[in-house]
Amino acid sequence: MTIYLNNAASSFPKPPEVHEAIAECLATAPSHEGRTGLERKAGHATWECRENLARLFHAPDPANIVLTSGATEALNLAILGSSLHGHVVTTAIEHNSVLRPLKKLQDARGITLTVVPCDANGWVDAESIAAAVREDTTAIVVNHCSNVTGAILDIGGIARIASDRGVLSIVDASQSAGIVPIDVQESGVDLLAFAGHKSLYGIPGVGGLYLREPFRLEPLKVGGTGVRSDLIEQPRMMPMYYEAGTPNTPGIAALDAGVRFVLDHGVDEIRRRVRRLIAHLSEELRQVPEVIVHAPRAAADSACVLSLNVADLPCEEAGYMIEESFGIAVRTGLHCAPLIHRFIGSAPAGSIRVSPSCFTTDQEIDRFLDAVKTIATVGCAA
Amino acid sequence: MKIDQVKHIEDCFDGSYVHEVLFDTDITRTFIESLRRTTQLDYYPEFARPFFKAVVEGEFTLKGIEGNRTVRITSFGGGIDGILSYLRPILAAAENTEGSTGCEGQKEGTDAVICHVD
Repeated sequence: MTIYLNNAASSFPKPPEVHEAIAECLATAPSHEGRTGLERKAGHATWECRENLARLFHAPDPANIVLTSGATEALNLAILGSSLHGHVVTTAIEHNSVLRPLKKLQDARGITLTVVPCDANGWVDAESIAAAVREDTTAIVVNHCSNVTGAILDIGGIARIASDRGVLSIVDASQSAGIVPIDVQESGVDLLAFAGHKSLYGIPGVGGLYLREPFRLEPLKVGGTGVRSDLIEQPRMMPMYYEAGTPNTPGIAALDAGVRFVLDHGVDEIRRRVRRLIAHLSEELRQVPEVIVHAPRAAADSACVLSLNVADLPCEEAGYMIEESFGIAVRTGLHCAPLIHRFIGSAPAGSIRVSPSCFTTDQEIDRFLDAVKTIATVGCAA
Repeated sequence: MKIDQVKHIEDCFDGSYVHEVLFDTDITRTFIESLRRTTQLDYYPEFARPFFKAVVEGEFTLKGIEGNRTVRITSFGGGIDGILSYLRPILAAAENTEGSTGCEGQKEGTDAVICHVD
């Protein structure tokens, strides 16, 4: 049986509650808040999902949570929907779901971009970001947690810099939501995008965006919302203003169940479990001379991800061995984060990424370590 | 052994192309060893499921797992058709060798069966 250590891409397995929620959703007549007369009977599942997400992120109101098809749509809404102009600050650890919308703005609106470098572990300090802010800066767009090294950035400190300089803060919490505590009010971030199918244990096809009031974004899509159907312009009711079209109700039901699972077990407890696995991985891998680890040394500074390379073995080849010879699913390559590799020493081909979840066992981690050690000794000796 | 299907997997940033080739039977040690004559072969029987990689410098890299039905071919410059033409006689020879010697390749948990194809 394959061991799954690619939870940074999409988590597996899902909690049983998630399976049950999807089955129940599919077995129940479709309903949607504001669109049918069945919503009361159906228990306002979509609204409950917003409420639970608001609890998780300490948002003041569930209406601050916009549900999307995933973090990519949420980041597109945040970046392309904002009236960004002039200069934007971002970092070298960003995913293409941030870099490509910014590039689009560069081409379409002529914005200028400063990419703040990271250190060898993928960490970017708030002072470097502060130093990059200029008179004409309109936004700081940062990753909360690197999907390559797992390094966690101080989003509170970065949001304070943004607030002090009167610029918008946009945070990509795709990797951190559900495994790193997030308090949007305390940190003061303006916009926070999250994926539903990673550490929130939902399924692919759902995610969201937290928006701090006042809401200044232009919607990316307009159309049916189920409210004020008499208007031909998009009704400015939150959060439907940004949610035109039929919602992904099975996905939302799954996300709701996943978020409940996280709330029930506690983000701190989930993080403690995964951090212990990452610490064990990091400690053992660093003792193998052929292995280069790309991650913060202290597990406290990282989330659920760690990257490595095995000597000069192409990462794609080592990943193929790990998957096909040893039955362990990992991810290899650039991980859709093309800029970070130059700084952490894994350019141009990238790294092998291993990402456990709270369901990963010690035995599974030990099987992975055995596989890497075998490849390092046998594969590199050839 | 015959080629059943060829799938284009991806175009890489270094200008190479990756294809997956599906055979009609499992890859045997005989086939793997027969690659040694014309390629630089790395073979790791120590792995839980033995890995092999055959390289023709500047032309292609072929890698796979003994017991699987697929291999991955990364080609540089030339098309996949030329590589498949190169592979077909090797596959046929490996099949004939196994047929004539009764060699079935290495099975899990058994000692290796060495089949001389030269």
